[in-house]
Amino acid sequence: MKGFAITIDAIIALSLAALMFASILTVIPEASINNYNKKQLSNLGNDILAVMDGTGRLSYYVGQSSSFIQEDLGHYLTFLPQTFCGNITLKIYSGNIGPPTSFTLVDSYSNQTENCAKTNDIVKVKRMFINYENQRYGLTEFDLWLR
Amino acid sequence: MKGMFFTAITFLIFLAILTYVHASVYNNVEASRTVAYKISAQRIYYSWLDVSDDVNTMLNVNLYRDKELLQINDSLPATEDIEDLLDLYQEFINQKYKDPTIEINFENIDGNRINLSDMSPDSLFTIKPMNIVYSYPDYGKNELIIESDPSNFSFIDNIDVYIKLKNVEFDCNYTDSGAPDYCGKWAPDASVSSCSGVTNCLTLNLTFEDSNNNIFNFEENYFDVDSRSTNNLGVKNVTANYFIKTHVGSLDTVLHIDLQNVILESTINIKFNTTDFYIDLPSILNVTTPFAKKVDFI
Repeated sequence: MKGFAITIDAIIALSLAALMFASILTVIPEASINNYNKKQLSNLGNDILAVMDGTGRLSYYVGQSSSFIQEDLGHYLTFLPQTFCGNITLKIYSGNIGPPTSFTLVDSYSNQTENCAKTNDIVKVKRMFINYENQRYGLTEFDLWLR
Repeated sequence: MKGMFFTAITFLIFLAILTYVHASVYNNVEASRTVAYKISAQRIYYSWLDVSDDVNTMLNVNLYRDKELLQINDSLPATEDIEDLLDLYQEFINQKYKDPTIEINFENIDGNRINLSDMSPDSLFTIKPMNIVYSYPDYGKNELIIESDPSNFSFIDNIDVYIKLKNVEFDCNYTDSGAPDYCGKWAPDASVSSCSGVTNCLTLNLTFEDSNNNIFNFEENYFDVDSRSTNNLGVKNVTANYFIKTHVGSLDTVLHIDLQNVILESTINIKFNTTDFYIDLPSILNVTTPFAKKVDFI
């Protein structure tokens, strides 16, 4: 009876110890790194879009050639550090006053960092813009992930 | 005795491990929450600025602030239907930008939701806390008005106005102040030679440039704004003659320029005697995520 109790005791102790160490060694450090990476990706994505909007670049794309826009989007992707990957999608809409008010997709462009397959951990940021002269409404979506 | 000793040691080791795991998990949860808050706050900040910038773009006005100086760069009249643009933009936010994790709403001062096009153009940019207003009678932007309550007028140190006329040339004499059709006549005329002894005196530097790049600068620089001064600046294009009407005073009107359909670009520098001011549009923008929100005048 005494031997049985000791054996059960030892099994429980070992199981608990293994579980705890597993938790410490795997869950905690990985979770922390992911969160800070997410913040870094989000920071960088928002900053790049803010610069593009603030300098009037997004609005300027309206009416430009497809090749120019693709190349220019690629230029902004080069601002990312080498360990970061990104995909910028630019959508330009025309608006139709309703009811119901609707938007028609006029143009759509996309460019992605070369040799960067998308992973499951993607941070998404976006920014709107308006082109006053041509009455176009735009949405820029920027997906970022770690290489 | 030996058994009790091992039991106690085992108990203490497990207690230490449990405490460590608990502390680590707690720290991790807190760190995750902090990062989530930061990402959320950043998202709110960028979304708020994004919308706020776009609204100013639609009004086609650029405001620039530097210490005591407020510079307003404007294009008049409106070349697009601003009300339609504002309505479409609000719908664009609802249909294309908003998602289940972010709410973007426009509210009045009482916190009730409003349409963006409900912003009244006759109180468009309010310089606070002195409540000096830069506005138009309507979104057609055919007139621009600066108004101030007499009790707040003393916050204005001086105003410098430069107006570039795009489609007309002067139809008055802008070189000879003695000529009967001189451009710079005020009637009524409440201009004064100096501000000494005048209760509400405006220091104004008013300049027009026509489409031929001729420049006319008004000689009068000081106005008693408890009375009204009016100038009719004669201009013409190939089809017609117009008068651009400029009123200085009387308070609450500080400056009122009626374009009569002339296309122009204006640069207005208002120098205040304080750096302590900010600019509000008559709509509150509310951006909310599950973690936080920013509610402020646009």
